[in-house]
Amino acid sequence: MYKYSRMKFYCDENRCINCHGCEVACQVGNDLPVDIARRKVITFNEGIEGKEYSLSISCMHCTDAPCAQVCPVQCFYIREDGIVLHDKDKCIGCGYCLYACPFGAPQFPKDGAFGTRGVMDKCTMCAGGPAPTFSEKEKRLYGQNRIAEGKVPLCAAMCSTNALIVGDAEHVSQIIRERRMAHGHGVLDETPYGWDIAYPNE
Amino acid sequence: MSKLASMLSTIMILFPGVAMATPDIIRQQLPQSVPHYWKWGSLFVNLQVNYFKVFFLVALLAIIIIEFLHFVIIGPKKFRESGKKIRVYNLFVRIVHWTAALSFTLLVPTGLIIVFSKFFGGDGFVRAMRSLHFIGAILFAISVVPLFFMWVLHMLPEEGDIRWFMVGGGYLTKKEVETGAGRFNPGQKIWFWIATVFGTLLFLTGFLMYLRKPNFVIPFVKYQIDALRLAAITHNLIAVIVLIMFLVHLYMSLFAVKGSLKSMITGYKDEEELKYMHSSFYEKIKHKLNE
Repeated sequence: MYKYSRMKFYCDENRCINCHGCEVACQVGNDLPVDIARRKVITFNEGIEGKEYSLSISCMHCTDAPCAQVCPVQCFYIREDGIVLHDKDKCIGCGYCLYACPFGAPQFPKDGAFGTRGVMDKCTMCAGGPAPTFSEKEKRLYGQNRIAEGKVPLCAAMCSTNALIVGDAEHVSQIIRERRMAHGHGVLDETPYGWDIAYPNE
Repeated sequence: MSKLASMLSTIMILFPGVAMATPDIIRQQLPQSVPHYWKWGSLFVNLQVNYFKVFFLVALLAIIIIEFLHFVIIGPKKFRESGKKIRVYNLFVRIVHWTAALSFTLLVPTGLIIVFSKFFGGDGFVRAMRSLHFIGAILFAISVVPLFFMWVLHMLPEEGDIRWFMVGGGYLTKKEVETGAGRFNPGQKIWFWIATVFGTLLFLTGFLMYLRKPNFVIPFVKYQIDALRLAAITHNLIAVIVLIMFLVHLYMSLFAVKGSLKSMITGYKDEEELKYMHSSFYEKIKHKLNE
């Protein structure tokens, strides 16, 4: 595994128009229940003129993912390309991954007995899960496996302004650089939102 | 009005059938709470990865080993049967005690199974244990209020308590010594305060975690997700202390003092036991017995 083989999400705050399209695409495309939002569009500095911008965030597929570290059943596994996935058959729905996550990514349906948390659900970067690829079980539990089909995840695929991009870290960085150069901002002067927390060592 | 609405929705969360759309405060606070992660978020990760399991395992093994050694070396306390029985627990007290006892018997093992769920393989078994943990919590909430009020006046520190500590509660010797304890000995008093006060804290933090997305403002904590993290940290740390005291209480009642379990079932204790283990109390009621 070499340094730039990691898959990363990047959302360009200059392009995101707060349309919530990625959120809807993810929910509908993966048949998610109403109260589950794997991807969320959030607005920063709301109401402050000139400073307001929006970003789409979900699971950042961190290196040394804290969710995987705290899980009491160790149901997480990190693929070679850096995608963080979990096994819903093992998950006990304790909620510790949510407390460990900087980005509020793990979601819990209320379907356990007595209205307790059901098993965790989170962004899979449309890479399915541990169930056999393209199986009915995988689709039901984890949603589409578009990575195995050679496609881009739903959210990034439908982003009308190409604000949300996903892919090999090297390619993502190159696209960010080119955009900055075209805008005349020169080289990237700051880390994209959340990257310093998700990828502290890279 | 919004306060009423949030209270109402909190109540409705309790009943899964009537769940209503609640604003997700965790999500609304994300822009501010993400850069704030290094405060409580990383502390929770560090504690959960390195310490909690160790605390529970060490507490569990240490107490069991100490109790085993005590049982082998000193052995259980046996008192001569004088035949004179004194009623110490009335029916109400026994019912409340056994409800609380049932709740702890559900809570402690299921809690340990959740902590060591990797050992049990996760999946449906541990999820069922989480449901049992929930039932135990409800039982605890029901029993803790009468338990607290029926015993709180007996559980305040007394003069004789010092002597009880000096003689080690009378448990460190095979001889029968007058411990000086009143109606309840200081060990029972400590367990009472830990079970009620720490138990209530456990209930509140557990309830916060049960809510998933608490949609009311939590005092002293800036971000909702931090409240959940602090709840998980507090819940684990306090649970270690409660686990220790629960195991000690269990050992005392089942093995260390012969007839102790029976007295909580029937309500009667033998005069001989009271004379030594609760000597101050015995002094007080002695004149009544001779009448």
